[in-house]
Amino acid sequence: MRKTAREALVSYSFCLPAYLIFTVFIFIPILWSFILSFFDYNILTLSAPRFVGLYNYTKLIKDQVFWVSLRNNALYSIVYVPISLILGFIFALLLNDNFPGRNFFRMAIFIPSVVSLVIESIIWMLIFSAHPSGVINRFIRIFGIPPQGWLSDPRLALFSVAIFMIWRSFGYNMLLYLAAMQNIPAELYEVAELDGAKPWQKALHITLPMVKPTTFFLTVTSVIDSFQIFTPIYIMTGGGPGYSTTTVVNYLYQKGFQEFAMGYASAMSYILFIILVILTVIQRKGFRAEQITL
Amino acid sequence: MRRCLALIAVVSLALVAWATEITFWFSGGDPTLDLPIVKQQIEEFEKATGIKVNFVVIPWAEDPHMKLQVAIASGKAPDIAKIGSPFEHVLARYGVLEPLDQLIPTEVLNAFIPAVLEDSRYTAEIPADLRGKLISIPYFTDVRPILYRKDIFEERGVPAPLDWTWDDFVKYAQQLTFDRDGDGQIDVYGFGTSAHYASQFVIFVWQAGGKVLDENGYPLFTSPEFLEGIKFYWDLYHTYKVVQPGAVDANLADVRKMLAEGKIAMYIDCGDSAKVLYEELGDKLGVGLLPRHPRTGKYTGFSGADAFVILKQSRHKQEAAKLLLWLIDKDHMVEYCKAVGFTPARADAVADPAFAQDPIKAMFARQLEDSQGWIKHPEASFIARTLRVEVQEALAGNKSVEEALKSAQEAVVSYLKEKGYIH
Repeated sequence: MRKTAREALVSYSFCLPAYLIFTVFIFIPILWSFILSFFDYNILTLSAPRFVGLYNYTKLIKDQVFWVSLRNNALYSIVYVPISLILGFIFALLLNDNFPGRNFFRMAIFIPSVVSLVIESIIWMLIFSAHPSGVINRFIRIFGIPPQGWLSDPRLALFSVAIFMIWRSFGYNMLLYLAAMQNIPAELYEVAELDGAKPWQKALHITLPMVKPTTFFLTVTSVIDSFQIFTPIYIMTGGGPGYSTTTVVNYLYQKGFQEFAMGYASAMSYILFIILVILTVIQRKGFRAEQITL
Repeated sequence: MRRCLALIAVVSLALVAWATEITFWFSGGDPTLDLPIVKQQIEEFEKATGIKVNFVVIPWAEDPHMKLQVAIASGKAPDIAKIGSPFEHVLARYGVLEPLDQLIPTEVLNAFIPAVLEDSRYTAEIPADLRGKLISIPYFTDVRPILYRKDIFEERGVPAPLDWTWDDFVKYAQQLTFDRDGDGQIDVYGFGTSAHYASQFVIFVWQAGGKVLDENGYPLFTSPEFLEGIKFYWDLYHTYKVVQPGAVDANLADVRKMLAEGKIAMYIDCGDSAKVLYEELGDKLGVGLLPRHPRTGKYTGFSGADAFVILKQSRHKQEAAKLLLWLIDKDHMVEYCKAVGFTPARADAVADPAFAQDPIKAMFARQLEDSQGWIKHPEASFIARTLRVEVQEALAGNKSVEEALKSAQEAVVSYLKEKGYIH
């Protein structure tokens, strides 16, 4: 056996476990759920799934709850993605400076993103309590604002969940921005200082463009995350009141595992997949166009 | 001699190894409360029968019903499972349950509260061979009466909620909604509830004489009785203003906490909650009956149950039935229900002094006399969701009660027609 072929074989054998895991636990289920989306399949039906062609997709287009969930996802994404990114960037800027206690603040802000989401959801349910003695309601009372049903008012519930998730995730964004900022050559700031640039000008004209790959990465992953939100909704609101906090994944879960329409749920997951691919391509193009302009 | 002993040892080991093993899935359970009791009962069963039991506990938080579906789909279903009713009716719809009529002796079935056992009979058309058959055996019932704070009732001069009507209920709930410290904010609300659960409002429909589905499975959400029940619930929020803030979509565990903290004076919940509250509140906790509808005289409560099922995939149905019979033995059932606070499903167990002479448990038994379970329909989950969402829409002020119920009616009719349940 030639040396290169032997080396290739060794390399492939090292990769094999990872490929096997990917194939069995990710690729095959993805493919299988795509096939299922063309079938009427109930997980409890021991007989074969019934082929229905595009019926699940056409039914989905007419399903008002699906559109409401999609709208909720879009609203949530519009609030969650930019705010968590902006906060992550601002805190990274602040905590990139050298000052006593810097590591404590970094850790304090990052910790929520590694604590169990379930536990945090339960804690925030208490914070958002609608009773006049609830934590936030007590706070807003100082300003003369009456108690609000943070999770029980359809107008507020989705935004309340978004506030919680922003609090949870901006620490992670901050960490990635911090890593990116530490790779920016110090000379750039020195030159800017010689030219009399103010801190905000340095942040806007040096830091922000230099961390653009991180911004792109965080935007894409945050949009995907925001469209896949499930756990906090499941725990904090159950998708209610009404359908005001039902997101696509919550609805998909409801259809698949509570109403047993597995084919329909698979079709929904593929629509979500297509939406996410489109959004990612748009973002990618947007960032590229900006790079050319720069 | 040594050879002989060795042979005996080998044979004994082989017998142990070959002993039949059954798998028992137990949904829910508390490691500090009921699980030690069940484990003890299973150990005794193993000793008495030589049947090994692979006991698997799946907490409610881990969605045991979903896990059961996945296990069935992958051909790895347990032999016997304890599930939350009416999920057995969903499982039966797809033919994955073993009918129990032949496996459980008649004298054992006769010991059960007839109304509770009746909920274990399959009533849907499909599959036809299961219609009228016994598909589960109830373990306990969790009827939901009024749980209230005796001290707050006394403070406001309100009598114990026993034989009272809807009008009394409103009058007393208003009396119990008050500002204790005079700061202009309500500190105690008369009635705690949550529209997140259909069980919290459907009782008023039943009390008004309404039904969720008719005999042919057709929804009756727009009937006058249904409207009256939901309108009454809506009035508690908006006309009488006796309900705590956030009740449109609250978690019932939070409502329970509010009762413990004295932020609400009463709410509707089941026996395990009463047990937890009693440990916290002691004699301050009272259990009363639901109010009667002034016309029908009904004070119907919502009753649920946990039930045992034997799966069709089981290769050891007889052994699974033996374990089932062991667990539903009167003494075992009493021992279990005493620990968890639920009402036993057997009439002779309810008559046990542990329940009959306990004022709290006895009140649960009284509420059970007028109680009803959620619909036994394979699409019960969709129907409950649709109804809940529309009632929440009305309570949130997005629709009138009439519009909400009309929407729910249309959505459920269309769905059931598409699925072939109605024509």
